Amino acid sequence: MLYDLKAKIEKNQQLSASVYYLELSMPKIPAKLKPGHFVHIRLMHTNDPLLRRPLSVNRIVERKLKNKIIRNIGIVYKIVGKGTNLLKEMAAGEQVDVLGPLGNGFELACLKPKQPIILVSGGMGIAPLVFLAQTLSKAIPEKQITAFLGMDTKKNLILADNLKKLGCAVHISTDDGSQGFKGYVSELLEKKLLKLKPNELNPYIYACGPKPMLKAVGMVAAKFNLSGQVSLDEMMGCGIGACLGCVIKTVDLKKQQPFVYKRICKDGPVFGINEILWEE
Amino acid sequence: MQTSVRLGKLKLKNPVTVASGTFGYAQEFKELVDLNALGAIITKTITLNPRLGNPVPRLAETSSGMLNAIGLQNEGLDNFISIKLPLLQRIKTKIIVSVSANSAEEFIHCVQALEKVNVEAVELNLSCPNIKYAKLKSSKGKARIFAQDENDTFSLINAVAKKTNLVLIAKLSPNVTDITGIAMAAEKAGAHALSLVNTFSAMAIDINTLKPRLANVNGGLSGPAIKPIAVKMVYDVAQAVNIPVLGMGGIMNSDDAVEFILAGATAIGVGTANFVQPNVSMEIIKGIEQYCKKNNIKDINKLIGMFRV
Ligand SMILES: Cc1cc2nc3c(=O)[nH]c(=O)nc-3n(C[C@H](O)[C@H](O)[C@H](O)COP(=O)(O)OP(=O)(O)OC[C@H]3O[C@@H](n4cnc5c(N)ncnc54)[C@H](O)[C@@H]3O)c2cc1C
Ligand SMILES: Cc1cc2nc3c(=O)[nH]c(=O)nc-3n(C[C@H](O)[C@H](O)[C@H](O)COP(=O)(O)O)c2cc1C
Ligand code: FES
Repeated sequence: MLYDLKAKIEKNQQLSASVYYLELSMPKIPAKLKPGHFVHIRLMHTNDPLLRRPLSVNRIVERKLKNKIIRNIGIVYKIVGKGTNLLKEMAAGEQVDVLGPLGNGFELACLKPKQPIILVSGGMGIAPLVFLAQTLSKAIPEKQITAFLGMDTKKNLILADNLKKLGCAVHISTDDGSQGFKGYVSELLEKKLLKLKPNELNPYIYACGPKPMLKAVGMVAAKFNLSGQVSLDEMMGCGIGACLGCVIKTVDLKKQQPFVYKRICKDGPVFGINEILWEE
Repeated sequence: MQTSVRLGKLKLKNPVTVASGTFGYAQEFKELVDLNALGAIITKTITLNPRLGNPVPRLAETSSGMLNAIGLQNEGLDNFISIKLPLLQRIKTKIIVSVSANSAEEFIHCVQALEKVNVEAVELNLSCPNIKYAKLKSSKGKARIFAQDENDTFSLINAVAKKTNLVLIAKLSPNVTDITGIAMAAEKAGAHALSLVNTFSAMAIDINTLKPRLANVNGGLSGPAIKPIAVKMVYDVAQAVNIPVLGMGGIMNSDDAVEFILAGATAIGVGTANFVQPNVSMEIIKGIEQYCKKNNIKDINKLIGMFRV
């Protein structure tokens, strides 16, 4: 079921120079959320900015209210342009319209017992992976999760501690080498995978970030014959599969066409790592 | 209150329709909108053969508007008829199928196939700014669109009208010097109603990457930014022809809808607003009724073109 509801801003706090944490309370939607889902937010009832803004669910927060447990949605967003600059000025108590839950979410049923899990993020791609780690650590406490986080520079690094608290082993790469490995997160991933012992169960990959990063992770996965899922980002209009604005080229399973376009908002944002036809 | 209006033989229970390409094939909205309450649903444009559409980015937001260059992505006539249409026909409202093609023959083929499966009305999309119809007689080999030329508009609609009994709604382009000439040509050729406007040809540049914000470079502008121009075009056309006008362009609420009806639109189309507020069409239906009640108008048809200069 899809809902378009008024949500109340509970918190809107700065996490780093350009990143904020937003917590929203609303009925119905939080109970239906799976990791990888996103919501489409209308900030205010004006014509400019016109469109909603898609933001991933970063975590589910349980708060006690008069003996009842209330579930809120936590979102971590980066200041980019018009919309996010307006959002950061909004105060607790103000309302926004939330359309959701949207998208397919990460598939967990495909995990084999005892299979190690690898999370890979580029930039803000870490946001939905925290909800994924939260869910995995609850569902399978003995799970072995290793996270590889890529950022441009140390001061922009966020949420690494949240992943550590959820029991993940965290490895960091930065473009400028100000923290951890200097270089791309896909290179760091490849280096670690080379140390994999031949008798170990193949790890399963969940990745989120910009397309070039996901493409590189996809190539590493192919090299080591690993399967996994990637969550993609594209300009969105409707968010519900109607406008065909947010497509990505995927392999045509019927083999009739060189590719088929799938809608990131509805058929995704999560796709099989081998399903995407990456562009040059 | 009497809210029904007519587009030729097609009787709508109220004047509120959803515009082609902004409502998919309706199923996408079924959890958010009471589909049975709509005056009509206009489908995403379909073509004879499947079309992949344009590369991404296909969308860009601009001040009070948006650009799109979807490129008529659709699964083609046969898949539409076998998969999408049966679901649409279960909805208790009028279904208007938007069709586009490269030639009169192809248009006729599609329209006749739709007639066989009990479709009542088609919107002939002569005006998508994102694809080029090559080989038009008047264009001397240069790619352009039907609704940019009176002769092309006339001969195309005339050819289709001779071969079908369906209600024909011609969707016109605002990217012309004088839309009334095209509108009159469409009327003379046998169109039963006119739908306007499609999007305005436009573009936007990312000043940091020095690249166009749409992969297709140019696209179509829609949303509140175009509304005053669309209102004038609807007004001009409604003055020039005797067939009903389905008006659209930037309608965000019932006040905007009433404005189009006052300018001469018999029915209105909600487009981009569906992305911003999925159930906005429901509010528009209610808002129009409230406006009529407040102003003691018992028949919505009285409102059409009622404004005074
Ligand atoms: C499924 C999904 C989940 C996302 N989750 C997060 C998240 O958890 N945290 C976060 O910081 N960002 C996330 N993003 C990206 C976020 O939507 C954009 O950064 C944001 O919309 C920028 O808005 P703006 O008005 O500040 O920027 P502007 O540049 O002013 O935006 C103009 C237009 O472009 C769109 N846009 C701009 N950049 C992007 C982008 N990268 N992706 C999609 N649309 C864009 C906007 O929605 C708007 O329509 C997500 C995107 C998608 C598609
Ligand atoms: C994303 C998008 C896709 C569209 N696709 C079509 C289409 O397939 N066929 C068509 O006739 N018009 C199409 N249109 C145009 C709309 O039907 C409408 O004429 C136009 O957007 C103006 O109305 P608006 O400002 O209310 O959106 C599309 C518009 C948008 C925004
Ligand atoms: S945003 Fe409209 S189809 Fe995905």
